[in-house]
Amino acid sequence: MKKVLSFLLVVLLSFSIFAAAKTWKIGVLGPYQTENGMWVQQAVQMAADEINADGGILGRKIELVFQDTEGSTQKMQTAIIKLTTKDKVDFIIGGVGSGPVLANLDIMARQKIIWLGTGAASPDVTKKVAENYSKYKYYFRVGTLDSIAQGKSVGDFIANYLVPKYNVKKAAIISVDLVYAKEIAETAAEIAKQAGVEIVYTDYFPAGTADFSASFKKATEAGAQVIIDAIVTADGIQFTKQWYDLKVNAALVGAIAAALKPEFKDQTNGKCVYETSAYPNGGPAPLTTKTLDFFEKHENLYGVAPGFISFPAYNTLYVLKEALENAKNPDNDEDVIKALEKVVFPLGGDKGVAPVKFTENHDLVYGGDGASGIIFQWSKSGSWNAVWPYEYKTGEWEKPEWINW
Amino acid sequence: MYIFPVFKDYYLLNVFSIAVIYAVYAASWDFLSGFTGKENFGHAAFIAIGGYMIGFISSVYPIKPFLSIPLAAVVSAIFGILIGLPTLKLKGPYFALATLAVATIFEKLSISLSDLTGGEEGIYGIEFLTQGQISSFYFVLTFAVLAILIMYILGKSNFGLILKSLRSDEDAARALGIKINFYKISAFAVSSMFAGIAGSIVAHFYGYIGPDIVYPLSLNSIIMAVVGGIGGIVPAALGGFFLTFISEMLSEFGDWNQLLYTVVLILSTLFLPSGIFNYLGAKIRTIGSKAGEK
Amino acid sequence: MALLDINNLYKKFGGLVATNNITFSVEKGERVGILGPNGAGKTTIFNQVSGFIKPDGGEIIFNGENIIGKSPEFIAKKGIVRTFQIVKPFKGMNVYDNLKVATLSPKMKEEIKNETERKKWIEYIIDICELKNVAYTMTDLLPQGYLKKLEVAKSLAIKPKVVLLDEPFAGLTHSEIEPISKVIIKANEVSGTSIVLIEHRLKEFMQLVERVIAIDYGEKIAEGTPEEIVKNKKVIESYLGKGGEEIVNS
Repeated sequence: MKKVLSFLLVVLLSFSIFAAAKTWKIGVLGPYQTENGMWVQQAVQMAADEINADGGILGRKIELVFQDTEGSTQKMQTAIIKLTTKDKVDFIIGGVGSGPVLANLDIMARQKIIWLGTGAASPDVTKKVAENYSKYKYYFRVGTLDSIAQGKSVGDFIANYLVPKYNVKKAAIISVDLVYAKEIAETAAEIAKQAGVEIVYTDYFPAGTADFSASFKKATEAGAQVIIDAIVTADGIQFTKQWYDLKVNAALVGAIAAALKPEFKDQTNGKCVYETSAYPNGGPAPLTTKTLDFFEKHENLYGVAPGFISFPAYNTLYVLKEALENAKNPDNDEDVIKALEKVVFPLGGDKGVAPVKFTENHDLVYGGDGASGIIFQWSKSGSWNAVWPYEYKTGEWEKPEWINW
Repeated sequence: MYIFPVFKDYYLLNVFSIAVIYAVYAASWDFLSGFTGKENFGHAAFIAIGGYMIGFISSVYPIKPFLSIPLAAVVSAIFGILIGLPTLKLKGPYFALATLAVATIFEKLSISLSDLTGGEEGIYGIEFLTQGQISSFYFVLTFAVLAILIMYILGKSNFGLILKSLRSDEDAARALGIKINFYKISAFAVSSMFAGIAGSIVAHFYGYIGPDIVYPLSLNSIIMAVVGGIGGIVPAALGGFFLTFISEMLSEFGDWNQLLYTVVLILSTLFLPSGIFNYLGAKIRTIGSKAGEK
Repeated sequence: MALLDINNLYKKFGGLVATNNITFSVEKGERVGILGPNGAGKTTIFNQVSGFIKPDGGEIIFNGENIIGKSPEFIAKKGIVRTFQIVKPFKGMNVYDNLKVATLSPKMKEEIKNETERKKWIEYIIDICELKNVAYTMTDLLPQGYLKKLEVAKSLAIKPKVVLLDEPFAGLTHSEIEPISKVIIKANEVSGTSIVLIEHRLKEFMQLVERVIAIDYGEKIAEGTPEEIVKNKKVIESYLGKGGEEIVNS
């Protein structure tokens, strides 16, 4: 009897060693020298530690292999080839910048590796899946929202809040001259137009501009009541400061990337008051029951608040976990893709930190119980409030006191 | 002809492919700047011409490498002449500034003319060089060997000797009747042509052309050529090859890689100011001649 | 008609007249010296004749053709070559290659048909200029004396009709001057090359030249044989001082 027991014990032990040795090897792509890359690294690490502490996925621990893409197509390609051939990872997550991601979708297709993307906002990324599903089906946009969806959330706020409440009639576009930003601004303007708003002035300035006073002057002279901005570069800080200093007679509404962080208040010396920006499917608002906890935990763990790429980066591993647990054969890519397509983290639910639901082209479903953009405003009292849609608001939108609408 | 890559290691193959293209970037920079002393601070513009031209054509017609390479050669050579005519009359830092300005204008244009260039996202969906990675590697390697060989032979020829005389003193050459503008423009055309071809090959290699893979090259080409050693094509090319390789190998060190890379650069410029491979070449020659004497 | 006729050459820099209607000529095979104090405008004349500076007025007739305002490349091809006061060797290459560059100029391209001929010609120049023992030395390592010789050698390597030598002896010791002086005379006597010389080393200067043109403040103040010039009152006032005659007599 003793012999049998000890034999069983040995078998069990060796089995568990064997099981422990087998992991989910996951390659993580990001430009780690930049803030965007740090967000990816920190959030993914946080999620992996949580999942591993909880026993991993199907009993297998997550093993992360970080590969720096340095913001370049070339480095990203080398990274993907290294991850897939040398490190032999099971999945790839991350990737910041639409240019490098778009260019590397073909490498992904060649290496046939499932890629859960976090930081490529061009609509063209998932358009490729639509054009050639069997080739590009490996890519899923877990985030961030594409530029069109980001523009929609800005446009919806103008059309459904500012227009009915303040009778806004004229708006101007002042944005940085980058494809990503232009698409946001133009989509927002299009929706505003449908609500009867006239676009009276448009200016796309090059990144690195220091003085916006002429643009503000021309916009207000043309009668603009709202300035639709999309500034994904650090120019947003100077832009907002100058807008405040000049007491420009038009509200700032749009998407300033720098404004989506608590640091913005100090960066602008407190001149961020009344600035209004859409947060793409994230931010300190109860998008799911876990969002606010995540925000706090991230701040405690790393000393900084999560950024807009942190939300999808954190979500990727949970999306993957859900899919693997539901896949017929988690070691078969086809089955995993099918399972991924079925993953749903509903808005207001208890899964993930931001809603996730995939379209048939592996893009995020926008609206309904899918992904959404939350409008945040820096209030006069200095707090950073979610003001739209109503369900998530933590404060009321405030009209700048110097504006005469 | 080549050492068959015993590594069926696709990662190394990829790094090798990129490294040999960088060797051509550095060598083509050397052909103008190392030989004539006209320091081109905007080499990226000439690489961009080849790459973006293929991008533009690809967005309407899926052009294949065998057609696009000769096209890139002609267009970028002409472009080199057009830029060379007004700028080569400038002396010293003024030429450097003018070329820097050309590259800056190019960079701004490729961001702002986004309907044509795709802006910061670039142009993707360009035909791949070849279907497989190994064949792509051989393609790139063949091109690089040929390009470097042609520039090396030209550099060793009487033509190259005249270019070197211009680096030292243009007036002394003019006093002898050398048509300095003809030679400077020709050097510009050759340098630009090989940079442009390399740019078009890169576009085919990645299936993509965008600002991220082009514009950092102005500075990188200079660094690679200077660290390798200027005025002899091969040292500059080796500089391009090994620095690319080192930079890739160092990426294992994560956050430290930029710092380590910079340390390598500083040490080599401090202790081997004439270039690593110029120094090694001279060493090998002296050892060789000593052995010969015995 | 002389080989080189310079008529009323005029050049103004801002308010300063650097060359004020200077006229002189150089015959074939002649050795002419230009004398004058520092800043008199001697090098400016060379710069204009060789095309490095565009004159404001006058004529430069060479071989019956007015070459005024032409480029240095054009003028060198016609057969006028200059040297520089501050030597301009091609650095980063050896003496042989320096001379090779000269043989690659358009003028010599027509005369030299193949590489064997080129080699022979370069070796001939190396020989007559006594550069044999440094032929394969990098110019960066050469002492001043050799660089001065190389400067003359480069100019002779394009088989010029006229050589404008700008202070070829400056900074050299007596023993270093002699070989260069010999080379100049050899080129003049063997090939019939005309020499125009600017030099402050008066003793050597006077021994070398057959005729002197004295200038001051951009104007020609005298012309004549060395013997005549040293006795000329204007020249003595502006330049030679009292010791002039002694130099010539010695």
